[in-house]
Amino acid sequence: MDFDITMVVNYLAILTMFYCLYLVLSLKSAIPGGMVGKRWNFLTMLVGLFTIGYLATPFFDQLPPDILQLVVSLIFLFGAIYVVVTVRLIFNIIRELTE
Amino acid sequence: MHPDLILFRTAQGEEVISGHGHDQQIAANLRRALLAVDGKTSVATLIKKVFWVSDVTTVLKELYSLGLIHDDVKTIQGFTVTQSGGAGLLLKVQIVKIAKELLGSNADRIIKKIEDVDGTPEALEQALLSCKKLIKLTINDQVAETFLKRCLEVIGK
Repeated sequence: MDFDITMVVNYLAILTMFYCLYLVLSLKSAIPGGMVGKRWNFLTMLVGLFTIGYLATPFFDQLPPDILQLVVSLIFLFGAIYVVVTVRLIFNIIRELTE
Repeated sequence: MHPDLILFRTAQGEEVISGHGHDQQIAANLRRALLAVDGKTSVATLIKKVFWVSDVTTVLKELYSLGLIHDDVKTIQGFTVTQSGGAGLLLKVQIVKIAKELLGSNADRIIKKIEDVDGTPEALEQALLSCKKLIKLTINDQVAETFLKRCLEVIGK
């Protein structure tokens, strides 16, 4: 039996993203609004988007190269947005707590 | 009943002690135990200290079930608790009421923070500032400001 490391990493990524989705959804009820609540909704949407994207990764080899490049670029873009939102959120929380 | 639990007299308990609660007469042993509950002493200390009451734990449980004593500050209504728990307890009660009014079902974390802090105005002020930040971050900016303003008025700051 062939050991496909790429596939293993893919499935690990999907599992991790599902765990992340579980975390954002379960914490949502504890953060109904405020500064964190607003950002949390956006983060939840991004995590949902990533989960769908990650679920599609096993089928990426069936996509035409042009489309594949576009999808990968979009994943990078949304990944960067996710990081920016998270860093700004942490920054704002620290600023608020140290006021 | 947990040994570290701090018990206080409810408004109903105060009435029984003061003799105004004519409709509820309690046994002398219960009354002695009720008198010993002061809103400061833990159950463990009461068991050790109140030697003149027989079977303190059972009696405390009975008083608890009668609604004459309680361990949850949220249950206190009105001003009669000042005699049993001190002014700090009264301030906490008023703050808890404001939190419930403004935050509704989201008040639990705020109430927990208020309950855990000392009853002095200084300690409460610090706790309120912390609560305001928590509300601002996780519930609503404007509600946070209103909560702080109203609570500071309560503690005279």
